[in-house]
Amino acid sequence: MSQTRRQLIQIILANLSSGEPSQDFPITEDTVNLWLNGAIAAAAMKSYTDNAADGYDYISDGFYGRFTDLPLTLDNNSGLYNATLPQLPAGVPVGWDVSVAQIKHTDPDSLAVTLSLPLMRITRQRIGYYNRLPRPHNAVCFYFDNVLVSIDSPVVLNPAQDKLNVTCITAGETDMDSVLRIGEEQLGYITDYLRKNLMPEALTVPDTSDNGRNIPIR
Amino acid sequence: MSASRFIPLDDCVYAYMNRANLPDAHRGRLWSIAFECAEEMNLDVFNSIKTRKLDVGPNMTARLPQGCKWTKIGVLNSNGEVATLKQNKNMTLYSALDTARLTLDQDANQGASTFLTQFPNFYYNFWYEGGLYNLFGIATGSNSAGEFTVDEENGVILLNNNFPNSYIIVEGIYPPDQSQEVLVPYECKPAIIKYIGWGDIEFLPQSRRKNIGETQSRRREYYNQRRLAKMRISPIQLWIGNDIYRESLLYAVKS
Repeated sequence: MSQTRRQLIQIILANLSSGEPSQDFPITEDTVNLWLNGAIAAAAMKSYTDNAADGYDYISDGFYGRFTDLPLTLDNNSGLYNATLPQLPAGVPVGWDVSVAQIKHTDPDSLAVTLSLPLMRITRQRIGYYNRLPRPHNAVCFYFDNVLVSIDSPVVLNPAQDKLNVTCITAGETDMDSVLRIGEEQLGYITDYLRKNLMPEALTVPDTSDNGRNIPIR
Repeated sequence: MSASRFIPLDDCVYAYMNRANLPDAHRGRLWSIAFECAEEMNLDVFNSIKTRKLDVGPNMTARLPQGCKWTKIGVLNSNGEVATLKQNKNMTLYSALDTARLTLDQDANQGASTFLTQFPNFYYNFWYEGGLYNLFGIATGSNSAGEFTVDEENGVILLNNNFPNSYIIVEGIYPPDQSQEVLVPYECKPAIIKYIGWGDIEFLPQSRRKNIGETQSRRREYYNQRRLAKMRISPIQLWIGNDIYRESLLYAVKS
């Protein structure tokens, strides 16, 4: 779908106002933009629960986007390499939020790029004890604290040559003219979600008696 | 990776994840379960045998390698075989770790008495009225290149005080080493997959994913596949049958 955020937001606004929104319509494009990421995350979760109900975990690929070349920094205290995601992955079941993380290595001489095998995800409840249990030889592991990615690597990484690529559920940039990364089949749910949440605001009767000022005149 | 019929343990983990439709985030947990299975099957189904040549220290001891469950201890002969030593469980573990062990583990005042005779003689076969006799019907004892006992807890192999060699050959079963890629025979792959499937739900509380019947059926599947794996790993071969037949042909007195 090559719709931009602005186009979708204008469709929603037209829908809420039953036509072209008037100048004093209480919902602005920015308001809808604020709700949009939440709506996309909710649609991803619904995609999961609908499929999981049949005993088959699945989330539409359309939700996934890739963040590339995230810089790594070495934390000398813990020995972990850290990277920061530009956006918090959606709170869907583990493994579906961040599907793939890979180290991208650029050879300093030939500039040839190689991608590692996917890193091993350490789930939240295993962080405490994964060091004490056997794990695959040479496995580079990673886990999350909010947007902070911590990478435990048995091989030394060079932050100048090694970057992190992450594929995760993302709603895309909040820039109005960025193209939305969602499948068209999700559009109905996202529109419904926004309409439901924005309707109380849309139904607010504009106060026309105080020339637009919110402060009551005494 | 080894060029033989050994495959990485990861293959089994991914095969299970593929069948169970689990995302990659489960890999760490399932790998730990698979590792437990490899440890167990290493003892029961296939044996990862390693042979090491160990130096004998001046106090006639040698360090048992880490994790080694020894199966054979001996020295080399001229035929390229391991001439096994005799395990003497009467040998004392006292002063096993002491550098002066050779002076501490014996009491010259007692002679070399055995429990069978009060006389200060070694018991070779049968002692009778001041002499040693070979008697029919009495075991002669085995020929051995030396004697040893093992202090398992401290990981020390103790040799007899006048052990003549400066080395020993130790063959043993070693547990899988997680600092290297863990390899398992491909005959065991189905069984390991079944074990992961069982271990995946074994201790979970009752839920949509787990119920008692399901757990029990996975357990049975594992044991059945393990049985098949054992048969696949050591099938009966013609030469083994021939050997048994030929070696059992003896010239003997008919009863």
